[in-house]
Amino acid sequence: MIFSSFVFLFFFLILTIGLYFILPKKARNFLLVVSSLIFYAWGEPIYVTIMVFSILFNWVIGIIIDKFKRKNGNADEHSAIEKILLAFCCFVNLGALSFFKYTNFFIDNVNSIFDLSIEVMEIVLPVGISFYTFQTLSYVIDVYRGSVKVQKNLIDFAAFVTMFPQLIAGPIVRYSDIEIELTDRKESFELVANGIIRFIVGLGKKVLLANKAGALWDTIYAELGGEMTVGMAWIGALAYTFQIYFDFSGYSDMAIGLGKMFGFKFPENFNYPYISDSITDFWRRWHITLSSWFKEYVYIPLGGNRKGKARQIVNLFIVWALTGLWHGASWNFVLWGVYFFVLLMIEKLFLLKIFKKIPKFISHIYSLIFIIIGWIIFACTSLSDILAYIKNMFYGSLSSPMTIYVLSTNIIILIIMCIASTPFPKNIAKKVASKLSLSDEMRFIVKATAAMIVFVLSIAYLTGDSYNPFLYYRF
Amino acid sequence: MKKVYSIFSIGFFLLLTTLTLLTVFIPDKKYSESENRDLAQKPPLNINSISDGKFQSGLGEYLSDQFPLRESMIKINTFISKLSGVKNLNGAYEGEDGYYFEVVTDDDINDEDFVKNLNAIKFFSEKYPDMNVNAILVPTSSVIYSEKLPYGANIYNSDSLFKQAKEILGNELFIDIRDSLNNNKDEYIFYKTDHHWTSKGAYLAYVDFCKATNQEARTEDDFDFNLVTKDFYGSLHSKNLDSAAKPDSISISKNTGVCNVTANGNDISIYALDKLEKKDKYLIFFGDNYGETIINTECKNGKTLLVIKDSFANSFVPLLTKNYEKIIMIDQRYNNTRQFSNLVNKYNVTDTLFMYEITNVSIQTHLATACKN
Repeated sequence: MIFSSFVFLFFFLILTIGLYFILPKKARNFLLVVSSLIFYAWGEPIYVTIMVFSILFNWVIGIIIDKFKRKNGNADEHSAIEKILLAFCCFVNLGALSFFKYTNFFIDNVNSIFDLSIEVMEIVLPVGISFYTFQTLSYVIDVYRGSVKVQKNLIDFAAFVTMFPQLIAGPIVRYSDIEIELTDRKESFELVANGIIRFIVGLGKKVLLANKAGALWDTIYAELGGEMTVGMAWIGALAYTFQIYFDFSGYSDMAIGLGKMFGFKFPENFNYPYISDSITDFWRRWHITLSSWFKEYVYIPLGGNRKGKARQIVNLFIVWALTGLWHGASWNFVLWGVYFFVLLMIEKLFLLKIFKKIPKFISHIYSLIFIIIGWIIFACTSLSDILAYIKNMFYGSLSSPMTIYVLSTNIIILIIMCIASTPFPKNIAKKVASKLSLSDEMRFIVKATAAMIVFVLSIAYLTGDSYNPFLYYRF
Repeated sequence: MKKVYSIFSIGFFLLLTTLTLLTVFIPDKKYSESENRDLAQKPPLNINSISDGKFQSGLGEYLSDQFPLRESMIKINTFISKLSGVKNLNGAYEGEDGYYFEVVTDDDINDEDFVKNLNAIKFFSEKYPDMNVNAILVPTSSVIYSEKLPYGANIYNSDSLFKQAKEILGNELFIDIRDSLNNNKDEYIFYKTDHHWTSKGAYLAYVDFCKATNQEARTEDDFDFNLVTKDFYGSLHSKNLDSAAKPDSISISKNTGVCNVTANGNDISIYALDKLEKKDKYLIFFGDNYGETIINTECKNGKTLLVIKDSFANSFVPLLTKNYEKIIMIDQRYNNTRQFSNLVNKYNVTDTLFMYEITNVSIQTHLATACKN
């Protein structure tokens, strides 16, 4: 099921919210589990079993590790059995993820290296597995570390894993993020109201902006090797840049808004990434929960920067290669990760110091150019396409009738997307509100009205359109 | 402050719930006139439909298809699209002077199949050397009025298609009506909101057809075309319900002589006047697209014309009722004829006309088989 659909808005959500607030507090986690499993199984009934297995397995392992931890007196130095259990847990979780996600990638590579023709397997990637695997791993590792209390209640634990707001496409919510709220949260009209608005913002981003940007990208990408001009190549790159941002951040907004309605405060996942003044800055603003997860559970355990410069570079390389690989079972994703590793290294070594001394707009432009080119690497699965596209961005005829058509029919939406990817509108709204001395009530009413307009337009779009893919759906 | 939050929260979910209840409890519409398709009905709810996912997908389709304000939503969506500069309104380009043009690109036309079908038509004409065989491929309005297309809009290359047709079919078989249409483009020859040609456009083709087959063409006065509606919002309007669209007018020639028409065995008339009450008023021509339509006319000259067609011939064939004694129209989309030779023998066909919109030629899946057998 996807959020931007009639089934979700006009069937699932109203039933779930209705039941949630009718039921007593003690039953609410159970409702979340049941409704989330239905949400998950809606499109793919079979793969619920994998998630259920993952829940049971990690719940049990958590309890066992905790038991041995206690036996060990909660010492900082972990006993051998604890280590073995943790390793086993990681092996099973990552093994499952690898099996579903990377088996065919592995087979393809073996085939090309050894010149074999092993058949690829018919494996469907269970939706959300990349997200909930990381989430459950964060739980077990944190129990091992002693940074969270073990969760002995299966329902509560299952609620954490399955929770439909962030189940399919994040943010990656660590157990520690919601440990307290899981058993002790306070829902309120204020949270629900603000949650609704946040949800609608995300819905609008996805449906009114991302989908249109996606259609534009598809149209232009289809002309690679055909009618693509330099102008079109850049418009297309911009389109993809906006599509992935509004798609993904829109989904995160919807997740955070829904979580709010149920009384949960999920971590923010995006912070206006396209106003970054460096690639380093970009990765503090883009998919924040992912880089934070990798830092906490891969970079730091590998030693981080505490084992010397050379080791730090190796650690960073591993982290970024894995970050790329996490996004998809294809070499262009790994290349994308390594691409950023190289840029980050260059910045760390000397570029950031230079940026401090030159006008800001140069570093902003530098960031945008490399971010956009990065998206081309991300968007094209074949290396030849990547090279062809990037070449097309810098070499070829500038314009054509089709270029003019594409530009003139999309310029308004592109400008809107530029503005919407900055905090500019929000800041203007704040300034106007204080100039007019609007009360808090008035401010909310204005926000709510704007949200309802976006909501109506979103429904209009959903009605009139069947084009509704979600880039990160198969995650 | 709390009041504002509670009013909004409850109000929002009340709104959603009300819309859902309206969707479910207002009697379900079976068919959408403006969308020209069947609307999804309530999906079956049982173990089977849930386990194979039909209930789930069906529910989504049902909720969106039966949504109470569906048409208004589509209109709002089109309005917003236009506001943002979009020219492709769900498959119809918004052109100048109120013209809409169907979005057809080179990717929509399979060149191999196009050539294959042209060769099949050629084969048929060579199989019956004593029969008058002709092919009219009708250009779309975007060809005649290409200057009204949005600048740079991607549209199929008609020149190359017509060139190929001429080369493969030859000038005896192929009748190129583009010049006649171009010379009369200031007249009302194509609908603005529909992809079909007007009766005037069909008349121009009729004149060319008569010239090519050495027949006398009746005059426009003789046909006595009369306006039957000024309220026709056609297929291109149905794609987007654009509120700015101006309706088209349909004229027909009542002077057909007395004809006896059967379609798939049932009696019908050339003009289905009841279709003027519906949205797709182009269906006034014969009421529908039938697999096999047989017209017996007053004209007793022994000539029997076989027309292998798509919907463009519907407004063209009524003009031939005083030129042929019998006309058989075959639309392969609704007919499983795989052997034209059967028809030729059964009806003693003396003349054959292949008439398609040029972009439809490549999608005729059974044309080649039927021509060869």
